[in-house]
Amino acid sequence: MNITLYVNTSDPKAVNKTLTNDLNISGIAKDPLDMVNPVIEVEGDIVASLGQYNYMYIEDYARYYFISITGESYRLSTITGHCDVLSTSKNWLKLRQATVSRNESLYNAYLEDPNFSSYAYTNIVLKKFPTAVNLDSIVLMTVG
Amino acid sequence: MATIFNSNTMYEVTVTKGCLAKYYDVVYSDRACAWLVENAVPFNIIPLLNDFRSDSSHHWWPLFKYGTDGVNYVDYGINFEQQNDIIIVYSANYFQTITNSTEIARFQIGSIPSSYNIYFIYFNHERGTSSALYIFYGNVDIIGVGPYTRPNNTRIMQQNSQFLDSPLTDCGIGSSIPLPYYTNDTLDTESYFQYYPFKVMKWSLYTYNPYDTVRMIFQTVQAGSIDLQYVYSINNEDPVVPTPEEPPFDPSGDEPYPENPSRDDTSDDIPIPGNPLIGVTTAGFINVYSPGMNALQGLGDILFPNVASATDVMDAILKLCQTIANQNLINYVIDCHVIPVTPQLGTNSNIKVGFRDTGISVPVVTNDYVDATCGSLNLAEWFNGAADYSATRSKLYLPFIGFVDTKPEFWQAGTISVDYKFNVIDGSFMCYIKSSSSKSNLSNSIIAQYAGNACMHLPLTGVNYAQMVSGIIGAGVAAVATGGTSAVLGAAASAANTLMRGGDVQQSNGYNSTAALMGVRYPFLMIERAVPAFPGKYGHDKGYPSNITTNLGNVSGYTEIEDIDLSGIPLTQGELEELRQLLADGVYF
Repeated sequence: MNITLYVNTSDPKAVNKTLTNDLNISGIAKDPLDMVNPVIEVEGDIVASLGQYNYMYIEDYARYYFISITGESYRLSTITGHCDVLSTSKNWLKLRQATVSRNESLYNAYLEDPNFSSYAYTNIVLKKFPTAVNLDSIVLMTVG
Repeated sequence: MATIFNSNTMYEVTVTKGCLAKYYDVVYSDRACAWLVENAVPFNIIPLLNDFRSDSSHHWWPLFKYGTDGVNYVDYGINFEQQNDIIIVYSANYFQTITNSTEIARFQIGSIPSSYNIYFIYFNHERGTSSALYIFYGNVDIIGVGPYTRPNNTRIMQQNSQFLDSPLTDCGIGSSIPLPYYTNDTLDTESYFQYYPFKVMKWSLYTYNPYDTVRMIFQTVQAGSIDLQYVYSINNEDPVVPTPEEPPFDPSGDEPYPENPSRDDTSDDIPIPGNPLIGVTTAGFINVYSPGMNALQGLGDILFPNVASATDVMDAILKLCQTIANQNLINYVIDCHVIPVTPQLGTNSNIKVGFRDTGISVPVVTNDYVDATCGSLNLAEWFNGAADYSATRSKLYLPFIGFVDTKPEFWQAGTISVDYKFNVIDGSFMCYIKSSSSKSNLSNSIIAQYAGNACMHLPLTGVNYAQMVSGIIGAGVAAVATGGTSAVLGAAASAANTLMRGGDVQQSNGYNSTAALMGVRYPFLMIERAVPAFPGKYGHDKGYPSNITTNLGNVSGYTEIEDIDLSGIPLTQGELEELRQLLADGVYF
């Protein structure tokens, strides 16, 4: 199967990943075939030459994967992958409507934030009203 | 001055909420005319009841009365009133006789926070020919010039307000659909005149805020001839005019409340009550004065002459006689006390004690009650967010009362005021706390009131003093203000813990009316706020509370999604669960 290797420099939790140094190689999927966690055998020792690659795309599976490359011998290397569900589904996700519970820029300041942290002390402010009740007067009551 | 609207001519009127840009006394046209609204949104027609008249010599229809004499025809114009009404009258008169304008239908401009719902009606009535009733709606472009062309986005009106769903592209003469008419309240299917009634429609124009402008463009359209004599106005029911509904917070990206125009969420104004009508000062039995210290001392000299200060024997004898004569006068002095306000005073009068006119002229108190205002505080939010309420608590110190709890909702982004009403007779008072706040929807309303007593009695006799000390006289205890603080409801755990860490601190206790005069005389608001500790990249790493439904293509940065419909995404069940969990834990778009 055709495999495209990439160097991924984005956070694993990023939906849109920055992929560079794409390289097409061929390999054979080991049995049992697993579309989610494939194990691909590649001829030759590619650990040293391709060890910087940490990401791949398998066209047959239409999926992106986080990978690790190991060498079993000088003739055979193994690429072990785990499906990156975010990148694989990003085109569908962008078309979806969903309720966002937290966001970096789209937020409602008047919602309670359970992550609110504060210092141990509080700030106390006194605000005085403008007029006092201090016009003391004498009242005398008599009968007559 | 009447304005004539000519056929096939474009006119534009800009109408702002609550008023009309122009007022026309009588507006008439020699052709049918109609008001179009630009950029209106689709609306629903609300038909009113028919208003049929019966007249043996005429054929009557709702709104229109046909005259058979062929002479008296009436042109109808557009008549606006200035009080939020747009009255639209349709005119389609073959003859150019101008008499008056009559209301056909009424637009009411209200303050409903809704989109523009404009409905209007165009009656194309042609004598002896078929006619059509056009209703314009939606985003109506300027209709084409020229007669007999039905504008776009119009529908044909049938009886009982049923619409046809197959609009005609061109509804000129001969191509419209007849409507039924009635004679003496009887449906008449055979008509020589072929006039057609239509139902009265109710129109409403709502604007969202005071600054909205509705741009109305209308054009007269030639409708051919019509014989109309009278137009009868319809008793429109009062439209429901709900108040504008402001989002209580920054709505950027947020979803608005579901709108319910009939819901009234306004606060009523609850003012400070007026004074009781009956008082001691007006009863006539008691004399109430407001003497100064000198006058009071002079009264004391009269009641209790100082024999030892006599200048000679005769003076001593005189003073002794006065003492004997005045020995019971003290019994006619009911009370003498000090209050913290100046009573309402009238003209001066000599102090009368029993039968004795003392000759000491002092102001007379004319009203048992006097108001004293301490003013108000106008405070803006500090955090402009939830912390202004959940991470903030407050107390209000009130003179003669002490500290009382308040809610931030009473004063945040609004005004809080303190007013007193004193009874000068016994020193009792009522303290009113009023609040206006856009966040809590308070509008100059009393939200709390406290009673107490602030009066220092001046002892007149030994018995009198003993009673004072024992607390019988003037023992009105100021309203006790506990140190308990309002619960910090809904606060984040950290902020709540911080605010409550100090526990409930008692900041005042009950004290009698005399001690009350020694307290602080200014009200003040004590505000306690948590001090936020946000790291520099808090938003990037954790995001902020959102609770917004949106297209995920529009979000960026750190995002948490509580739940999402993942149907249709070609992933395995396990992958979908992993995707759902990742989105809930937070990802970067």
